[in-house]
Amino acid sequence: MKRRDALKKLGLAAGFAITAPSIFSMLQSCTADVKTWVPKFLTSNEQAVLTNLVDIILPKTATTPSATEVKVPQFIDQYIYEVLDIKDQEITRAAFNKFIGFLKLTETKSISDVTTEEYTALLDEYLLITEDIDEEREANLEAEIMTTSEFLGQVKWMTISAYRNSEQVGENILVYDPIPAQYYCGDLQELTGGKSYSL
Amino acid sequence: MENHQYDAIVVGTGISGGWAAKELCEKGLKTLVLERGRMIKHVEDYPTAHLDPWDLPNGGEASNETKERKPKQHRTGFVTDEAHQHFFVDDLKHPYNEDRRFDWIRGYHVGGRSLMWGRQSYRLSDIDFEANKKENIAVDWPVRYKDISAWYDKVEEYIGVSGENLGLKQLPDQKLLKPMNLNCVEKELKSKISENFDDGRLLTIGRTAHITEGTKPGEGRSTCQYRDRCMRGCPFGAYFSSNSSTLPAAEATGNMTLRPNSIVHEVIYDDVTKKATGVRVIDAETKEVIEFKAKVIFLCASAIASASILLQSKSDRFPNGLGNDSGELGHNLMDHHFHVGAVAKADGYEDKIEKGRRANGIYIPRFRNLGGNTNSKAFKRGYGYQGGASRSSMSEMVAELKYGPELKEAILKPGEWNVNLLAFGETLPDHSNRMYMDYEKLDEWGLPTITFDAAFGENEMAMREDMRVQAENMLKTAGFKEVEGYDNSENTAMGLGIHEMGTARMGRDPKTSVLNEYNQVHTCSNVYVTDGSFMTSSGCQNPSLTYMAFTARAADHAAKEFKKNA
Repeated sequence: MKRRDALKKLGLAAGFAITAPSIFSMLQSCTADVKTWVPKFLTSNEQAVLTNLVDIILPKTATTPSATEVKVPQFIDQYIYEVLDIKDQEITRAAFNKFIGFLKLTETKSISDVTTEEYTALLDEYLLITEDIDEEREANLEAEIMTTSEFLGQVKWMTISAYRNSEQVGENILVYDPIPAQYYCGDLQELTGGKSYSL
Repeated sequence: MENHQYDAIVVGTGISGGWAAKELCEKGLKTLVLERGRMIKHVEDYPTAHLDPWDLPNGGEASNETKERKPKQHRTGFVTDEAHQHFFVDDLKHPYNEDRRFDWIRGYHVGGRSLMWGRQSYRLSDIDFEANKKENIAVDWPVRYKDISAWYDKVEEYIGVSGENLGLKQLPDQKLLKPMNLNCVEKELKSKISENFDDGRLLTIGRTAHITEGTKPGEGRSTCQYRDRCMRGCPFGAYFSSNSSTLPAAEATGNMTLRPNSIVHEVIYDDVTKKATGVRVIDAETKEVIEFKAKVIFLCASAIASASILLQSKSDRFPNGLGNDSGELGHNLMDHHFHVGAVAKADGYEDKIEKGRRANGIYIPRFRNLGGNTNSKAFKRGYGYQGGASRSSMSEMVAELKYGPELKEAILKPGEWNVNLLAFGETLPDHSNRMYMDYEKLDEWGLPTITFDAAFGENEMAMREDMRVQAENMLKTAGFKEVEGYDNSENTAMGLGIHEMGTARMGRDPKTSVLNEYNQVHTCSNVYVTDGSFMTSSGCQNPSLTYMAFTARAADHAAKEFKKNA
């Protein structure tokens, strides 16, 4: 499979959305605790970055848990390690390093000093929506790399997938119907209240 | 002390072997049933049957470890999912060779692929049985529909097949339980197809070996719960498998001895009686070589494995393999070709959603080359469509939103209705499509490995164009949007349909075929081969039901012969 096809399969190349998140607080500090679990693949800097990104992508709301509350970073870390082949792991790592480069860490600015504002600014710049063009990819059509946009697209896709595949979301947030016992086409509001099923 | 003498031996426990075991045991024959793989007990050995995605590592996606052990099985893209990969073979332990790519997807365990099969169950018709003769292709089937229809009845009534009868000459009516429901989008497609095409094409619900009302005999078989986890083994026994149905029936007679971990590699031939006297087995675990004797041998090991056993059964009389005077053994390998069709999206049903997960889809029976305006100059035979409509699990807004609470809301809402028409086409028998033994490359039991040398031909490639175009036409006619045809012929190969067949074909003449009209080896009449090997042509219908019907018929014949000679 060509690299581009592989990315498409992961839902990355199609590009993702840009809409200014007006209700999202740009000023909240990054307090996610990264010390409570030991990653299988990620370095400690990558772990910190991922932990912050997933909660910006899927933050806590009044009725739903945040991505970190359902252990999305742990899922992604294990997924990269156990499912992606070595080559894709390397490509992911390279893209991750490039992204961390954008954070401009110095001797006096460590990963824990990066603000949510800085992360969202990078997401605004590099995460793409449907019609957006990935200029980095356009310049390197067949290159076996992951562009920053593709990388953030992958983070977004994996975050969504991990979130929906978590027990808490699967059983309590989405509609959980393990033994339906019948099949028919029914009214969306009556059957699920407008939500989708977890299985 | 293990008994080594039986009335009958059945090799394999899949769709065909289970039926042979049941029928022979019920007719009073002391039967040894040999299976190369491990034991799988109904329900007890379905470890993942109740697991949710969060109970499986990585949401159930195939791990690197699995993909490394099962690279060829992984070509399917789905059998290596962690929920059921344990039912598919380790390619490193069970290697095969490819002169041309062939995807040989297998399960070595009691129940074989009856545990993981697709369950679509259609009859062949006389249009299929007569096609080779009419078109002067390969050899004529020595069987017509009237010879097999009562056996289809018997099998269907026993296993339970749900669906709708349509009275079509190309797709005979069956003994069916009540059909599963179409969903709202499929109903619209059905009526639009009937309104707009004058060549007889129509849409129906798939005929599938699921119980939709009542129960069926076996070990606790009840109605389908619409969980769509069939391939993990069904704790409700709702779909047919050897494990839930035929093997318990055979067991209940007291006449069956089931021996797992028994690799049959040779049928022993006696030149004096001109009959087979038994089989040679290697115990998969101890590697001990054992001989078992019987008066009747049923090879039901699957098309490739049964042909391989016959090819390895060499004697002075049969230097090229038992029953291989014709030179056709291992040849005429067929599969169905697919991965071609069209997809679309349907508007107007945003306020609807499915209740339940239906492990079944729609069926559009063959409508090509049936006479009159259905005939095509471009290709012979025909194809049918499977597929259907379903609502995607996530709103399309997910692609338009970057992050934050709005995105979060979108990932919890259903998306659009998607429709897929996926064609399955007939493959013509071709002598040059074959499998053969490599005696240089041996497996861990010292047995020769199998090499494949086969590919789809010109007729199949010509058919694919129409398979794609007609799918597009029907979806456009239905008024669906974003209709897009597809043909993944570059990424597919023979075998991927997991319908391999034809390697010991039936025929009227021993000079050009391996088996006679009762599945007996022409030149060694107490050996019956009743898996996909016997198929003289492939039809476009999913073939397992036909293997079951022919097996039941052959077992009846064998039992009568046995009693005659007793």
